[in-house]
Amino acid sequence: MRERFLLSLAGLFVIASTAALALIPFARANTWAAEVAEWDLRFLFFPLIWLLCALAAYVITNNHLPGHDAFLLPITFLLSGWGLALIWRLTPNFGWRQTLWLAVATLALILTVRFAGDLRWLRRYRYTWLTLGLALTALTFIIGVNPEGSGARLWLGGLAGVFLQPVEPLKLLLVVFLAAYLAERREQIFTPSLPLSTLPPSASSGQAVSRFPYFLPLLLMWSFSMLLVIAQRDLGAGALFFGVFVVMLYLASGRVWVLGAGAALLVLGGVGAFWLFDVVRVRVEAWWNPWTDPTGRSFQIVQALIALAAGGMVGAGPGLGAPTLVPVAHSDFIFAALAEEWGLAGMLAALSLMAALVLRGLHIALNARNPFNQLLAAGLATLTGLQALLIIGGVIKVIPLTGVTFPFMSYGGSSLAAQFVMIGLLLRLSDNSVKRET
Amino acid sequence: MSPQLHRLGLFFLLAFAGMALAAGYWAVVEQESLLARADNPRRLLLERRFPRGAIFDRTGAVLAESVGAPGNYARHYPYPTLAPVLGYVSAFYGLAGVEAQADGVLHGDAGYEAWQLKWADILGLRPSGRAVRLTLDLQLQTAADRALGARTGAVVLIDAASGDILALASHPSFNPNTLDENWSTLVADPAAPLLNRATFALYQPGGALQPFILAAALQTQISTLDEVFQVGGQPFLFGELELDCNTRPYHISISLPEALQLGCVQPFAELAERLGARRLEQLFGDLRLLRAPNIGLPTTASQPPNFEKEAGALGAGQGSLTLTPLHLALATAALGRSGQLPPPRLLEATQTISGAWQPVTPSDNPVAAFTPSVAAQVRALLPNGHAAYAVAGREGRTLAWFTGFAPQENARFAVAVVLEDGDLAAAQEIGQALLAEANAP
Repeated sequence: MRERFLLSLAGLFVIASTAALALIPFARANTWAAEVAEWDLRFLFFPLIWLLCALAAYVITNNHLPGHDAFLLPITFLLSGWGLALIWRLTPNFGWRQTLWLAVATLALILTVRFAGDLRWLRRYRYTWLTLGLALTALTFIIGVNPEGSGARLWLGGLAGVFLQPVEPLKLLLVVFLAAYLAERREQIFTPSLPLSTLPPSASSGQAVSRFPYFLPLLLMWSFSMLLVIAQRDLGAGALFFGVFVVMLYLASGRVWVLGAGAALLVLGGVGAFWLFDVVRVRVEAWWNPWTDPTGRSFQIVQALIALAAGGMVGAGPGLGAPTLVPVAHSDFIFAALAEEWGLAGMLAALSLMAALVLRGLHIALNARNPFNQLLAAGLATLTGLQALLIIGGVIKVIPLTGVTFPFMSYGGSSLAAQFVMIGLLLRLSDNSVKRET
Repeated sequence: MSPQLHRLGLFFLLAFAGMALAAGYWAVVEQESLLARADNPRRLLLERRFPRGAIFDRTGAVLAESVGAPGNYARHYPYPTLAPVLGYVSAFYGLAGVEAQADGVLHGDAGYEAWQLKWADILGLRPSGRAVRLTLDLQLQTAADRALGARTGAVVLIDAASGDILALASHPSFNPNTLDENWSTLVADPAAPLLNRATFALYQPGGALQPFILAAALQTQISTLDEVFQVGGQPFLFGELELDCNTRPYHISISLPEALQLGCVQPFAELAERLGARRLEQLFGDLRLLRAPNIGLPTTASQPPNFEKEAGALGAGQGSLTLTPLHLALATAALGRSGQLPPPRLLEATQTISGAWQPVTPSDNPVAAFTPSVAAQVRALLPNGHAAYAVAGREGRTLAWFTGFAPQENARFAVAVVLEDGDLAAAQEIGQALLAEANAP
């Protein structure tokens, strides 16, 4: 009931913003004269697809997971519908593609909901999954491409104009691996009674069992992932992997020192990267004082802040701002486009929706039945939340800019599909009516 | 795991709340300063839908206008040579010149309260820009630009009675219609085409100050036109510069009228010494050489010189006092009329919201620099104006100055010409041609 009501509200919002888009030419010319513009029928297309996707997801989820969380689908579809409207308004060419990607992502969500079962298959083959993800990502070193022709080659394919960014599924698979591993081994790793020692178990006397051998595979797999994305100069994924790793270690162990050590390592790694990698130095300098080079390296961030100011409290109105002045506004900087046309009110709404989604994910973790489900739900929520914080913080100059997408809203098929699979998993994890697994 | 999850939830809540605060900081607290930045193109993008006002000369000829269809207006300058004065409007590089000076009226904001503009934005009915009229006369401006041609320098022609600027030429110029395409070349050009040399370049005055030193000497009665000065033999030494007469005189001893005509430096340096610091300062102050003329456009003036130490050098025009061609044109107007220095004006009228023309009053009052009789005495010595050299800077570059007025009695026009190539005859020719054109019935 509640879910249907919320989804209807989301539908109304998407239809209203589409209507606003169709009115742009008339609003700009300030007349209803027919010769000003033709009614743009493209704007019927994407809300229709969106509606079908939402409906399909709603029906199938309710059929298969009757006890699922009622907030996940409305928030997911509201954010992605809003993002779709923004992308259509910014660059209609990408709008077409993103609409198709929404259909693909919804299909992935539906398949996850329908066939995920008790998730034991995820747990059991954790090494296989992560290795597959790593292999795909590693492939970009050999046959990687960039859809724009130049720049970092982080994509695979180009088959019929479809590109896959393997780092997006890799994020998801890393969380699965961490959850599975920590759920199984956390006692051996973190048992408080055992003294810290690096000696192998055989060499130690009796109760003094070392934790390190149990820790090693985890560290190894995580390091592979980190090295891979660092080698790709993918700062966003690197920061995300690190953050998720630290948070999940903390969740599994309950030790606050894990967070402290994580923060210290982050600072150390940041300083090291500042001296080692030009790309890091450029980003940090553009963040620390963008006003010294507003037409060069800091152009994007300065223009984004001006877009925020141009939005003010309530925004210019959909279609009436000039968010295309910010380079690549449809992707990493979609939050700036949202800010200009929807104002502070829109930003607060988007932030609240993201926060609500993360809190729902943590809530699901709280009620989950076993440690794996707990860690998986919390890990997925953390991944989404950290990613949102990273990119919003980068756009509004709170932290240096790292190139990640704004979950559900930014242009990008791989990330949308991966995020919809995560929502599918969370829906599954939230459903307590499924038979208890053994 | 539940305490950890609760803490994690709290962390995310606080982090998102922090982001909300930061977003509010930029969108509300810093809003005005961010929107006022020159690299914010939004204000100018509005002018594609609501056209910017036109700029006219005093006869109503168009100097700048927005052309095109609603939604696609673009700025057009039919007389691009005037670019150093009119300036430009660029979404990327901001505003300059008259475009910047009169932006409130041209853009259409002036005269409205902030809430009225906000309301208009909501209704999509923003007021269009309104026109302004300059004191320039396109016919005389064209003559000045043609006369100056490819030379580097500036010409200022003013109405000697009212102070209205009739022609303001600065060469080399640039084409504001293609500014965005050529920006990187323009800013890197060593000839500085973006600089308005007539109002914003400080030049060494050199001998161009001689008529004013003479007038001050007559007015304070420290000398007479009959007094004889010894100029033969030794030149006037100023640092490493040796300054003498432009033309060698026939005699060793010459009178002040002869010194003025032959461009001899020594007598004027001596007069300046005799005048002393206080009276020199008074003279330069009365001629308004020590402050930037107030015409709305960016103008400038040199730092006050040390009158005690360099009186002689100042009299020779080689001291630390530098000035713009506009300064000199205004001072020349005082000699051409009864010693009255007129207040300069470039913006003649602006269009009000109702569409009527509202005249702009000059922001200064006229000032009596000389008595009418002193002005008449000096004027009589300059029937063909005054041409003089100046030596600029350490590299010893020679500048050519010409100042003049017409008609001879009760002048209506005053002109100042500076040529950076130091061609004295050309400067004189340009100035006299322009005066003749202006004075033609």
